[in-house]
Amino acid sequence: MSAATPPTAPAAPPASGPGLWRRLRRNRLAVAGLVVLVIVVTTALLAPVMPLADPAAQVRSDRLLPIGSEGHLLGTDHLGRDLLSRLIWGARTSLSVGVLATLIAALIGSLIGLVAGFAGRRVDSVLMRGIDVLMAFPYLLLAIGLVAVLGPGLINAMIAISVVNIPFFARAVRGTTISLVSAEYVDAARALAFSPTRILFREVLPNVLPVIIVTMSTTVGWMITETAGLSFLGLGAQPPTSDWGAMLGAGRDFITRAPHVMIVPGTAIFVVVISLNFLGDGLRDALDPRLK
Amino acid sequence: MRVYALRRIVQVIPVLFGVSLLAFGMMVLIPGDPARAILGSYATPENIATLERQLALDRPLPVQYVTWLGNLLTGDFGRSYSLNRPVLDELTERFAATLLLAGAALLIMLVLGLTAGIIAAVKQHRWQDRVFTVGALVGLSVPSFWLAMIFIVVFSLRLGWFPTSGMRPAFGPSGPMDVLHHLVLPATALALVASGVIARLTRSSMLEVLRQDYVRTATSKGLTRRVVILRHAFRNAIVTVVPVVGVQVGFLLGGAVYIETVFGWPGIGRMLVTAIGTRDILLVQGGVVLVAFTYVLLNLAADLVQAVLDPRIRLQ
Amino acid sequence: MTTQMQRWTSGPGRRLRTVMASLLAVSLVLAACGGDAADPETPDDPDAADDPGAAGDADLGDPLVVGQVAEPASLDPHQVTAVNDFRININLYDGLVRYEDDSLGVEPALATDWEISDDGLLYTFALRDDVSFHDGSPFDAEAVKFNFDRMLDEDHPDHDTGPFPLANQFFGQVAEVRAVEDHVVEFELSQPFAPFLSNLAYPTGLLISPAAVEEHGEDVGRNPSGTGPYVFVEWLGNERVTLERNPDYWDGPPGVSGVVFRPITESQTRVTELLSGGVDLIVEVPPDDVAPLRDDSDLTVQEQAGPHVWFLILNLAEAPFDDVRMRQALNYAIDKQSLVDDVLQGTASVAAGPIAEAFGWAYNPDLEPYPYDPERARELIEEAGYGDGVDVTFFVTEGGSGMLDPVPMGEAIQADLREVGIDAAIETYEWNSFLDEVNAGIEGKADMAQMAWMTADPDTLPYLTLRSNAWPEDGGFNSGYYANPEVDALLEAAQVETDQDERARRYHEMQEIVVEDAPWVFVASWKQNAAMSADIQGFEVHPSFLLRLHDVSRS
Repeated sequence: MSAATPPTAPAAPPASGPGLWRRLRRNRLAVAGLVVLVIVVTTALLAPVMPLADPAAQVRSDRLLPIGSEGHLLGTDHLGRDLLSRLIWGARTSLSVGVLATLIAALIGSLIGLVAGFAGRRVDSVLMRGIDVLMAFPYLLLAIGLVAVLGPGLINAMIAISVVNIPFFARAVRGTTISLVSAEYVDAARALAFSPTRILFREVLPNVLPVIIVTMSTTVGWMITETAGLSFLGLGAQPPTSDWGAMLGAGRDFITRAPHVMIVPGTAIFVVVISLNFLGDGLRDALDPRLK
Repeated sequence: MRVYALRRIVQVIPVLFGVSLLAFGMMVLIPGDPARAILGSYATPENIATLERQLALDRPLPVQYVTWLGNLLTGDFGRSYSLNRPVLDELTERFAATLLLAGAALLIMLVLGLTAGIIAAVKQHRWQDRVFTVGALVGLSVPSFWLAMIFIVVFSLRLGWFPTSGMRPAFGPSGPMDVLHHLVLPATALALVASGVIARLTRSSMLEVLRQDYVRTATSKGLTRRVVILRHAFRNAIVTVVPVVGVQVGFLLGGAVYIETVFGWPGIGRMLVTAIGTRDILLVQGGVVLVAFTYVLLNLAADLVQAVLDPRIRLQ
Repeated sequence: MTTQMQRWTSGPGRRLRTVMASLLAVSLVLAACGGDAADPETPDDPDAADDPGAAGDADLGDPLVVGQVAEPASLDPHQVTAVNDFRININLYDGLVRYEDDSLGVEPALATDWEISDDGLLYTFALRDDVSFHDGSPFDAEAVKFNFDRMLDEDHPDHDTGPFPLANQFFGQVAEVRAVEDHVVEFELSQPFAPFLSNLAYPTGLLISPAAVEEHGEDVGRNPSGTGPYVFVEWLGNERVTLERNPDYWDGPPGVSGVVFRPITESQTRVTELLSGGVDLIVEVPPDDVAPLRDDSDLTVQEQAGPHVWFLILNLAEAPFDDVRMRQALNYAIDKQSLVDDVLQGTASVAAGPIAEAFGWAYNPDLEPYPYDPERARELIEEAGYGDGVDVTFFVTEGGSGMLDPVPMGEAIQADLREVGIDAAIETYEWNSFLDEVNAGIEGKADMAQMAWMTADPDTLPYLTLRSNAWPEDGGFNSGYYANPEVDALLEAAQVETDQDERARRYHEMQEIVVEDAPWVFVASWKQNAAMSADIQGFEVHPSFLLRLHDVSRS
């Protein structure tokens, strides 16, 4: 959940390189999360060369076969499509959309936060009131409304999720920027009459980066869940492309007769998100050991 | 303190204005209009024109918005065309249901989150810490819409402990106990994610506080551990938790859409999704502004509580 | 509320169990607790159900609880447009005429009989003289005149209690309504209009009490008063609408104490509520639940084919579907039998042409649906010059009235088309955006689009969607730009023909031409279904998709 964002993101002393990795390796849960993610991502990348059924191929008379059916390890869905194949192909869609949405939100949100925190005064109030509006607007409705405006499709769902999550980056980055702007080396840069852009990107940005990374690592799981949520409500990938949220949404119609259609993609989302969170935690602790 | 409160309250006004403008703009930009939505298959241009005249939708957009805003200031939310009733009546009914759901979830969130967070911090590195830390992560990693379905399958269909949907029995009078019975599953499903967030945050701020000098001093003064933890450490740790509770309320109100959908809870979230579908502009605007207002108000309250707890904030 | 007091004092045991169950789940402790814990949906207290039905009906038992698909928009028959609202209104109100028990034919209701002038312009109805509205005001010719004037006359003092979205569609040909005598009313039409009588039987023709309209104004939709078999009691927003039986109903009082309509939007939830006893009867059972519910000995399931056609609009303005061979190929390529059997689990039947079989006399029984023949489809595609494959855009909706699981249907059709070398890219739209896109015409946007219609008269669908004068720019719904002068002539003639056999002949001929021209892919006709507890007697699913509960009782 994005609100897992550290509310008053501490300006951590940046840690990186081998030290970071050594500290991360000591956290067993983070390593477990990393391993699971590597497996999931590799499987998803290898989907085209794996001996999988065509994820769009339908044998409509073999619909809703249970888990462990012959030829269909995870059973089939309501159109007789192989669930295992759809799950693996769906991972490509769901994961890349979640990660991309995080990147977009991080990019735009951080930029807003940097500018607001650095420029201060009127620019800051205007930008932050805008962010407040986004925060106050019920987020799911905003996402649904944006998809309705932009038209159908996973790309638009991704844009909607990004927009909705901009405030978290903007707020965290702004807070850190403000604390840095008064720091001595920034004053020194000012004294040297460096241009504001140069100060912002050369001096301030590198020091804000850990905050952005921590916020991203704690947000990406939430983004994947939320994209799945929009898809669950029917606003996601266009058929026959499979994504986990849409699979879950379709499975809802069969919870009495064939609950596995809903359980399979739900479990996948859960496993990936919890692995991301384990890893994100480890990363945060490694970057800022004080919180351990 | 009064100056701080006043400044925060003044900030609320442009935010609410922005929210209403955003809601209006969104509804105008969505393809399809209310008259078409009402007429469905029979939306001939002639039928649409007649209906738009009857609904006063044939006026220019800025006029529609300003009229709406003006009426809103006098407490008139307008009339919903998809429901043929005053928007305010519908909002009141629906919002009451959502507040009940979100309020119950808030309660569960605070009880579960704070308890787990404090225990984990106090027992740092011991098994209790592990269990609660992992438990909190599990909680905040489960998609709530999926958890809701699992709850229905397990607790309603298999075990039969709770009803699958709605807020009250089908007929006959119903008391608070009936509502509570309907409330348990949706409120728990809604609360779990937020509980994880609160637990983690409580744990980390408790840890930070427990390391501070004054806590060591208090301990060395001979106060019992329980008193130190609850009276001193927790009081200070909560300062960082309070504003996040405010943010979490936003997520409870927003995430309620999924829960209301799966459990058929007659709340405002599901109503607003439907209203976007039927292009019921006045209903969407009124509802969004109401939810945003509540959110802003609660955050204001959270900030003020934080300011009371921590005088430094007032001076910033 | 005395009943609530009794409930509070009479059920401590149950309350305790409820509390315990609640606490258990809150703390997430999975203690062993009998599966027989409180079932809150069946009132264990007979007094709890004493409001509907009034004194003397105690032996009729609990009211019938119906699981509806949505919260009603209004109970004003002239304001509503959704079948969901019609299902309540048909039990509150009567019209001048009504549908026969098992067909869409018309029989007397509040009008005992009628005469039609030879030119088809003047309809004279003789009215029942023994009927009052539920609010006590008399039903007479003036009341009928009031109902139609309110809808159609912009100068009527109560016209502002609308809007009346369907008035123009169904009764636009009415020039004047005259109360000739106390119980004789006359309708003058501006032009002959054959569907007029069946439109009067449509729920937009139900009659509301003028006194109630005058008293409640625009809120009459929440304070309805009709002449029907049930009387309005209360409407609790998003929870239930309660009706009680009308002991003085002119056609005999109903056999249950009342009816409660609960809005349950999720189809799965309707099923689970039926299984757990929370409702007695549900409509629109999801396809996959029909068979299990039918096998359940505590339940009965009914089905009835309705006046519904589910089809694909094809874009005749652009390649590839400007070529009739491609359109026919599509009709051969799609396995309609598998769509209705597998995707829809038998809740629909294969449609042969543009008029639903449920219309009886208007349906051409000699029509054969295009068989599933991918080989023939490939030949036709080859002949048309698309043997190397072709890309098309396919508009699919996410839901919507009568659309029958549109996304799985779209995906299945997509898979069938892929088999014959047609690559259909699906674009899904939420229902109202979808209508906006499709109704404006699909030229330049899509090659094919899903659509479904449910109508009261066989005239409506072809007249609005197949004539060349019904292209989108002319205000019609011919969104694929089909044009055939023969079809135009037949449809124009049928609409003003008052002799049913003549009308039927024209419709039969029209259907043959249209099936050959294949401007659509004709896919399915939906069967209205309902599932109910086995003790419910006297309920028949009606082809109109309405829900007539007058004859229902419990055994």
